[in-house]
Amino acid sequence: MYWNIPFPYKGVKRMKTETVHEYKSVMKPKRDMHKLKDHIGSYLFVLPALTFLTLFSIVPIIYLIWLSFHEYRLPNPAIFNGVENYIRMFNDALFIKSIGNTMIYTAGSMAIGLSGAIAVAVLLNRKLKGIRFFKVFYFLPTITSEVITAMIFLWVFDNNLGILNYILKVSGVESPPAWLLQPTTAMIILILIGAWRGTAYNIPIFLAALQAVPQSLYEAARIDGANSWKQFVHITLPSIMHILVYCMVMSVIGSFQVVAVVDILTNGGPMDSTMVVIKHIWQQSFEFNYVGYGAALSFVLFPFLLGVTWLQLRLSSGKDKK
Amino acid sequence: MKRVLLCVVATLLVLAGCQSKTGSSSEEKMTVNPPDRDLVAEGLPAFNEKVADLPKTDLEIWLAADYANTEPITDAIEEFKEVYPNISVKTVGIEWGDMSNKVKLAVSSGAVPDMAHAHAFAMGAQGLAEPLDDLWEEWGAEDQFVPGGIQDTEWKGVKYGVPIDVNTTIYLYNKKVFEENGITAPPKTLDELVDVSKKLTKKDGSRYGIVTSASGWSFFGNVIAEGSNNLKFNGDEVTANLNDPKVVETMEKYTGLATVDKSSPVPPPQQRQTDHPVAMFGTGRAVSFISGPWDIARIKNEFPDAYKDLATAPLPGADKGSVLGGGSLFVPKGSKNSIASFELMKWFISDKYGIRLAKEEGRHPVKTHLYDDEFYNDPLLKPYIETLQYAQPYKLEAFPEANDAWGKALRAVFDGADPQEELDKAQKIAERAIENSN
Amino acid sequence: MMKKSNMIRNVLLYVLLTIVLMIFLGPYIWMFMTSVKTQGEVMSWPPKIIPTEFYWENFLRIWQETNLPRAFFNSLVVSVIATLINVFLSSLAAFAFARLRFPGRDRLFMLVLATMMIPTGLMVVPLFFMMKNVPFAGPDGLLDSYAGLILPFAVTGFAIFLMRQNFLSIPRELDEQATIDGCSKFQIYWKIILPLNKPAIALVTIFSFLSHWNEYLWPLTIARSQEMYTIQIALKAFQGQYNIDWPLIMAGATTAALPMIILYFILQPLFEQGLGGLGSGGKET
Repeated sequence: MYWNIPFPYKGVKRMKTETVHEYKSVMKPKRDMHKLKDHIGSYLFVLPALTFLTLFSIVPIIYLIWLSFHEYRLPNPAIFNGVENYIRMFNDALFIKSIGNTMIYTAGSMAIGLSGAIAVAVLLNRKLKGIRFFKVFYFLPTITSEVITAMIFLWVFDNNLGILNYILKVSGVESPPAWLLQPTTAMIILILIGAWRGTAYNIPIFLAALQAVPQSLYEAARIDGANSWKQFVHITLPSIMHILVYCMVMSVIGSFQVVAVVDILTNGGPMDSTMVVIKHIWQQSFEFNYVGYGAALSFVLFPFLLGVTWLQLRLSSGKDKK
Repeated sequence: MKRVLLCVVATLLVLAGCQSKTGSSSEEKMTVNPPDRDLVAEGLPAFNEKVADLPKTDLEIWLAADYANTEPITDAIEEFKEVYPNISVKTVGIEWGDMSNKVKLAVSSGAVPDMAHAHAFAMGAQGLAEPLDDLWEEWGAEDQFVPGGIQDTEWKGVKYGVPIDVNTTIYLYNKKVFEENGITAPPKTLDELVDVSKKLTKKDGSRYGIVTSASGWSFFGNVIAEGSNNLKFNGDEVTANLNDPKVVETMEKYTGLATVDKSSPVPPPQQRQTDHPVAMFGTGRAVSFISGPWDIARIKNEFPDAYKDLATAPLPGADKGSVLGGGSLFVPKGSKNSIASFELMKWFISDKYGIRLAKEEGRHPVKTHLYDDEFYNDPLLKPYIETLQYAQPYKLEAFPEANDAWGKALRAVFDGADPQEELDKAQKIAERAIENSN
Repeated sequence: MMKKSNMIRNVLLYVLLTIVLMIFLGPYIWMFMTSVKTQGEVMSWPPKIIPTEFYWENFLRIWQETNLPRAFFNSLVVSVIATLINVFLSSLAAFAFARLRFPGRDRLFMLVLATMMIPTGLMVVPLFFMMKNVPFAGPDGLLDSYAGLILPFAVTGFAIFLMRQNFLSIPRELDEQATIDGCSKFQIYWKIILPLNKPAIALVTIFSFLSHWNEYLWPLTIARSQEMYTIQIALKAFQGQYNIDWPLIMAGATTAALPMIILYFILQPLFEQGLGGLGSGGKET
């Protein structure tokens, strides 16, 4: 790859790659002796970050796993109850339903959100007067917290008080649907809000990725007669594939954590059609005070997410045939 | 660049060391003399020697966010500290919905505040509050209280707190529209309510006769008004009564207003729906709704035109009464400062500050004689005062799962399900929840 | 003729950009308009987008009536420190995961990924007890302190992941050249890789700051006195037992959003350095 940046070292000539390889093979024995020292040095790089993560993420998980085998009803102490929580989970139809709902939500908001983000990033990736203004304001949906965003959308979609139905009525629609009161439309609304936020969040990432694609590739394609769409499919998409995979992983993880929007807009209804996993776990753990059972539920959710992530990463490195 | 960064991080890490103290007490003693003035004549609790004899104490109190910084509360604390200089008070405002979880965590970890604000009976039922019977006996003021207020603090015969405010629900309606349609008196029974609402609903949907609410708490008021209850109390024993035939009938009629007669819009799905009825009524799109006196003030502020035509009446029902709302203060389990905390509670609801809370904040007093104040001569508040004597607290809240099932059942029926089926389901869940907590 | 078709193209672009802008901006226009209404106007029918009079008092009220100034400061402290910690420590770790070879490297990285999947809400209880029982930190541990607010979520797997993706795309020749010239690993990290990563650092800064600024659950759990409240908790205080003071909450939310907008405005050009971007080849060893 050709990088047109000034080489970071002043006054040092660049060696040819072949020379570098030769040099490396000559130096190999000396290197073996330093390998141990090397490794310790490497560990030092990861040590601080890993300490934080272990202390504040891994340890609580272990505690949760331990809790999942206990009955823990605050403020009473935890009582060991074996696999009772897990048996209870099998009979918890609402838990299964909540996983299904969350998957629908995830698939929907990810599909719309990511394709929207790529599309808008492509739109923004050009020199146009005032484009910076657009770039900054397109980030807005991520700036307010989930709670505030949900409150705002409440006033848009409410059946009797919301703006949307008012506009529809004025435009002649006789009885506009009660968006949040019907299972299908409620989920669609949630997906749209999720996609709205997701798009805004991912635009800067895709923009940065798009900027890195060398213009020369596009020029060559144009000379060969490829139109914009062909350029997009054959040049742009493969070039940002790594980032797309990253965004998909983050999107799944993020979508599974949504709860504030559901709490405020639908409270899990109607008929539990928007009950999402985290809301259910939260309700069991804290509202109903079955902290041990909630821990068991989380412990089951966790490998599920891990599996999805692993799958996505596998698929991405499979595509990496450069 | 590196140095700047290091300096910045260092400074901020130093800041990070700062933390605040929570409630504690030392052994330092102070002599506290009774003040020259007569506290009782001013409407305050009498000087309490026991509190004056306490060593230096720091009280940490948790109040609902919309109380914590209001003037009646802050003034009460100021004066309390003047009279008892050995007690210092730190107030923390916490949103009502978050209070329960915070108290649970605090009690479990041992770092408890000395006063918190929720429904004392629910907190006592879940083992989160200190019993206060002996302090009540010493005080001897029980008969001054609205009976519902005391009930809000009692669980299985033990008192766990002091009520700070009470309210109940009434029927609010537009008397002008009533007159225009030849209705001379507000409905007195549920059946009359159904008829009146139907009559006042316009076919094109531009006006509804009533706005129903899917709040389990509010609906409980209708159940009480019909003479029933979703729990049965037999001495210390509590049993679930959610699918009592009377309850089922009431739910059927009430939800029928929206689902069958279309005299009411189907309530929105959110947990918190208090804006909806007020907005519909205030903008003239509904003729009546069921709510509490807090909405009277709201209509006055936000919809002054609708306020002119506002009238109130007790809940239509076969019997008297409704659901008791408000809140009570309690001492979280594990606090060592219940004597000082209890005294401060007495101050908050004293004549001097109780009436201020009512006039300035709309928090109605828990002591019966305060209702003799001219403030309560407002005709709009008369049905409220009448109903208050028969209002009962929503004890189902002591069992969160059952509470959730009750609300879910109501919601499901509004969405089209069958009342008997839903209440049978809820009954099973409630029975199991009550069993689990024993 | 070329100029004319260019002009039409530009006009179309602007139209498209504005439509998208309306979709993103619309709800915030409503939010701002609500914050300058009186309570009665919020629920008027037919709904009014623009109030008859701009009632700026709400903004004054939030600064006077509540703890907002202090909460604002707290949020700032927490977000800034946590972001600094995250950028620094995560980039160190990401460098090692992308560039260095050591036993267990890939497994450790999977562990890092695993920590991203745990929703905050579920960690609240164990973290609360942990913070209370920190040794040498007094009877209440790190409860109600800046350290308690900052530390648990200071380092995120997401930052490590993002930076590693970015490091992977920088050609190894630069490393090799530097090693031959006698650079230590840290020097490679500090002098070469890090400067080439301004876009990723900018992204992590924005996203870290954002997530701490908007965090509600953890500060709610760990902060016990009003002086330690962060901005999102202070905003919730406007939610009463029976009513929500909409104009006040929206005024608070508008104020809370402003620092983020400013921060993003400043950092935005950094995303476009283009070099050492996140896209094209990322070869793993």
